[in-house]
Amino acid sequence: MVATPRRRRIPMYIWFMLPGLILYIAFFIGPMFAAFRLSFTDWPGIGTKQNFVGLRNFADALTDYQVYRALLHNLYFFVLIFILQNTVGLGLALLLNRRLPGHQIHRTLLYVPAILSLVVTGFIWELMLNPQIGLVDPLLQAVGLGGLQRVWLGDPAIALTVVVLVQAWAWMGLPMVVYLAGLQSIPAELHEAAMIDGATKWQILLRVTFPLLAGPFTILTVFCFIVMFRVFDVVYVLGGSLGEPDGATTTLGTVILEYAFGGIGGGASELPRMAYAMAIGVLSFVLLGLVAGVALLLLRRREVAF
Amino acid sequence: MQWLTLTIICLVNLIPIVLTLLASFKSNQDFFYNTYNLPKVWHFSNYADAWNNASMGQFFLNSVVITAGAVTINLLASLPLAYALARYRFRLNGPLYVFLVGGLIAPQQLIGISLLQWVKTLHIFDTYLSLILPYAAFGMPLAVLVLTGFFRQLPRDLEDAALIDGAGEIAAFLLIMVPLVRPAIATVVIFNGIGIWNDFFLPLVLAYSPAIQTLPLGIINLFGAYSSQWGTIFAAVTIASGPAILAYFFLTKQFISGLSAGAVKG
Repeated sequence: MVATPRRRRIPMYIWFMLPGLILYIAFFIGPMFAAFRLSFTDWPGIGTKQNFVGLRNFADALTDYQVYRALLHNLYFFVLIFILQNTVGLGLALLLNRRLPGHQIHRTLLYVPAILSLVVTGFIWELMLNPQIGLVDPLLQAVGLGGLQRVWLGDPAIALTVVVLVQAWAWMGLPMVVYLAGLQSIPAELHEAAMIDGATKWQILLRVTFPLLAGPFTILTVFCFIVMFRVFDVVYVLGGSLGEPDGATTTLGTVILEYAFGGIGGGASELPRMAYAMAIGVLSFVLLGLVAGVALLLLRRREVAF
Repeated sequence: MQWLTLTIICLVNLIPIVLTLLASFKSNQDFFYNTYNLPKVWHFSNYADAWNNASMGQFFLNSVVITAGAVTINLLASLPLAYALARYRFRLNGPLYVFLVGGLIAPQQLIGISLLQWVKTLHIFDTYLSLILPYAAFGMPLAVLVLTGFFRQLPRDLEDAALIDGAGEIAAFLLIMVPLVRPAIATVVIFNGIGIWNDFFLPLVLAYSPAIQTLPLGIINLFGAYSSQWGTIFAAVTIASGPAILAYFFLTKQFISGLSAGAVKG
């Protein structure tokens, strides 16, 4: 008998991984790196003409008022919603954790806004805030706060805050559910032990409960940061792609879209600057990755085990 | 007292949604002069109008095809991938896991605008595939995160027993392991499915003709075209949101446990 030459078989796990890796690289990682490469050119987004321009797009982006303003708006989204998720979101979780009658129905209903598409959310609130047919103004009058009435989405001074609050309405279900899960995973003995030692309710909350919520806090903070730096849909519906009124509600997402397809600064005459838009995207990704990474490391360190 | 507070918060929180639902049955006149009450006459015809005349039927079909297609392809690709990462030891195992799950923080808008040129190059521009394939890929980080975690928890003996019984690696995977991770599959389907159903940015950039546009983009275009027929618009909004909300009510447990698992394990 002649021994057949031993061929190295390709191990099965390679075949298992291949389709997924091809899909992921072809439609996710590949386009991302294509964008990285194009961000060093002057490609307008149409045609094949492109020249290598080095770091010029990045230098431009770092001195672009549009970019800074949008970045500040994204930061405002994060700060305001971070505060709300640790007050309103956590507060709702604490209330739900009391296990009052019907607490599961409460939880189910409170999470509903998070299921809606953000386009729908934006649209519904646009009408709620409408001076003619909206419900917000009559509601304020009914509780004696009629003096607060504004053209909510038309006043540059408050439009951004209003948009953030609409986003918060859609967002709040998530921190509520995640904090609740955290609360439910704390062993009851810890509270009982503290109670026996004579701790007051507030002491237990501050010294026992909060430190043990550090895990959910880390995840929610980092996640909130990532999502608020990508925020787009609600902004687009309520402020349009130019961030009306008067650019008061632009975000990195709308600025990137406007530069990519032409529109910032002068309407139809303005040429698209696809490569420049991509450079802004790359810059914000690097910033996001760095900040999220550092935040994750720092927050992880202060978590307590139990 | 706390109970009352919670209940009131629940109700106030839902006012916008309830008003939307009511408005979808109202005539224009009813909408303006009777905004906060039940419709005087229930205009079910608003739904027919939205479905046929405002093309919501077409957008609905597009959303179903694209969401179902993307979720299916995503699962077919991510299940064996996650299984290999969880159950086989090889040199690139760790780095590949980070490479895949790291996609969770990737710049989706940047990838979105970059995809426009890519789908044109592939000659699938303005077809269902131009959205299905990117969505299937976008769902990969979450799928790998959830499925790999689940596969890792299964006891090794199960596979060994199957292999000793003469089943091949593929059979062990398909017949023994996949059925055991059904809860994880449900989590992936729910979260990727809702995400795709509700997504707006990708169709905005990639879907030019109404024949492939999904509901969120369809609704945006509707606001301009039907700006005076509020009943129709609200019916359209309800059609767009209905499936996700219904899925949520039927699968609340899976939703909440999916979110909670991520939170507690971290």
